[in-house]
Amino acid sequence: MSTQKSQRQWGDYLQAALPKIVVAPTFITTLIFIYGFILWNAWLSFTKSRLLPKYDWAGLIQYERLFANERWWVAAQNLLIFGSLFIGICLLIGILLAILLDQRIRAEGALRTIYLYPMALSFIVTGTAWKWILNPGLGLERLMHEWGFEQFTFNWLVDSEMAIYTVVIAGVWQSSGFVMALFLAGLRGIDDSIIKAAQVDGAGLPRIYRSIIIPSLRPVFFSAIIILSHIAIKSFDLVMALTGGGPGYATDLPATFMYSFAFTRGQLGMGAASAMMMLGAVAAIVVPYLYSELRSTRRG
Amino acid sequence: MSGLKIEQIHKKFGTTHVLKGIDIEIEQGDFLILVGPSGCGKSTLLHMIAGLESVTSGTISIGDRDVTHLSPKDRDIAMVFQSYALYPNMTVRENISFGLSIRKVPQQEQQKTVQRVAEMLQIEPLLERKPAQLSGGQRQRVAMGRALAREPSIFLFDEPLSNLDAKLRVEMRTEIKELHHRLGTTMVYVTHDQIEAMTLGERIAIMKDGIIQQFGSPREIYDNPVNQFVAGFIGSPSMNFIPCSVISMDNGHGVEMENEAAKFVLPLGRSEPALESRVGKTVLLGIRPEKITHHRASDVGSAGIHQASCRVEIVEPTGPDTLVFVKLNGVSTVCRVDPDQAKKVGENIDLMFDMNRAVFFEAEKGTRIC
Ligand SMILES: Nc1ncnc2c1ncn2[C@@H]1O[C@H](COP(=O)(O)OP(=O)(O)OP(=O)(O)O)[C@@H](O)[C@H]1O
Ligand SMILES: [Mg+2]
Repeated sequence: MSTQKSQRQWGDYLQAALPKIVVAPTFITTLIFIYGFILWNAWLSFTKSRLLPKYDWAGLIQYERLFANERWWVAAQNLLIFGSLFIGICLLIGILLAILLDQRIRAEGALRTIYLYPMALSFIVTGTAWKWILNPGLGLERLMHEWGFEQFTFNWLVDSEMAIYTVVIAGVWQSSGFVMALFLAGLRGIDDSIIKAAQVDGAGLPRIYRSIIIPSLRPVFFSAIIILSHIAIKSFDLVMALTGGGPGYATDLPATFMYSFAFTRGQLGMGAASAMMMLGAVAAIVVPYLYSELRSTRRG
Repeated sequence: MSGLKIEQIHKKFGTTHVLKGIDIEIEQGDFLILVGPSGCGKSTLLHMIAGLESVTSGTISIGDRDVTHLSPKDRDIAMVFQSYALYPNMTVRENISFGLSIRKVPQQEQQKTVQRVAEMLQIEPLLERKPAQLSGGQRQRVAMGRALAREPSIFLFDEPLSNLDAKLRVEMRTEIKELHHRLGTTMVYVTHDQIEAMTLGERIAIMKDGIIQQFGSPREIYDNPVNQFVAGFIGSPSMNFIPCSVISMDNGHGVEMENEAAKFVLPLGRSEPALESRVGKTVLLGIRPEKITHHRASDVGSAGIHQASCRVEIVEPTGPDTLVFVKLNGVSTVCRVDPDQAKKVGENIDLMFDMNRAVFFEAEKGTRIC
């Protein structure tokens, strides 16, 4: 009788605790490997670590060195160019494709898959493929020459002024399908009868999109921009595969800068400092987003 | 001049045949009600009149102009949608004036119109709000306002009052009726509420399964339903349908009734030629609740009025009347009785059956006999 009762109590206890037991391992690993390492990295950025980590406080010396480093400023400027063009063009192409696909055309499913397919590739594959396509001796330029257009030149990949734009091309190719899917879902979420009401009011299709549909997709714009900008800030693999940061360091982004300083050039402290700068940039974008999201869910 | 003319309209969505040959014609300035159970194709028909849904076959004319293949903006219509369909990104004011600004109405005139409509619909305090910040009823009024801001040749309403509370609904009903008198514009009004249909309509089209069952004035439809469906759909509480056998009597026909209290015959007091061939067979007697009342001395002996005693099964007071349910030939039958004359459950009540307006239907098919 009493054993039965205590067994039941144990069962109840277990049932109540089970969810916590299940999430505990991931919670602990997240705590250590993400937040713990962020803290560790933050500490390193205030030391004189070079090839190996040291733990003596050295103040802001690594940040001073970072800001004095010309290559860092190239990387930051590249991020600005790449980020704004990448986000802008992705949005433009994505919205256009979504609107076209929203016209209930035939074979929509197939087209959607085709546009979304690049998403399934990793940036490494995209970067490598575009490296070949844009390589003057291998891809597009050679093809045009073989077709008889001898004057055709397209050597952005090896031109240190223009190389960053090839990164934009590859990035847009990869991500605009995703933006399209996002907007298509948004468009599909709009009540059909709103469009009908606007038709009765006398508006043509362009006017309906301009005055009603696109303005009411504001939340989608917001999500798309947030997602694209964090892709842009974190971009590492694309640049590594496409240009390797070159020619020289012309296409360095903060992520590749951080990698080469921290792991290949034995400047652990400075790498850590640049990583902190990136964290700051991501936080500046994501925190307001999360804040507004949470606030709107609380509002109902 | 014809206000709206619909000829042999068919609509198929793929293989589903939704509208099966609709014919309606109303005069300029008429108020047409489309009424019917959910899913019978009312909204579809309205959307086709608006040009928002293509026509599979048939023609539609508005004011003597064939509009079958015109786009909505060229049809000169205004419409209130069942789902409100307010523009979510615009304020109430912008919602109302959108159609005007598309038609390039001067800014000042737009604001005047918005003001006029807002006053009429009592939505002035809401003008700067977005639709998401409105209640269902407020949204519906804004949707009305958007339609009323224009002066079209025909108004189309798709259940515009379905989300209002009872009081506001009655108010808006009167408002719409007044509006119709004032503007004199042709209106088509979809509802599944038969009371709304009866109170608003000049012409009512009752639909079921994509077919117009009956098209006529409220009175015609109420007094002379063409079949059991129409008879049961219009009127509240709905008409009683009592299966009974027809007998031949000296002064015409009668029907046999039976309940716990007694077995009796209801004489029609007249001879119906159509019933002659059905003597001895079972038909459906259709009799409205208000035609079965408490004992009234003044009515005793009138032609076609017969008194009988029945056992009370359920009593439902409604205020002005009390509904008394009795069992006749095994069917629960509603009678409308003066509250003072109503008896308690289990007691017997003397009821007066007025057979002058009684109608008869075929027992199985529900088609009208006479
Ligand atoms: N786009 C569509 N594709 C296929 N079937 C449809 C479509 N639109 C409506 N239907 C069908 O047509 C029938 C009539 O629909 P409709 O919306 O006209 O009904 P309704 O009479 O307005 O009903 P309610 O009172 O519920 O609004 C329904 O059976 C519905 O399922
Ligand atoms: Mg409907």
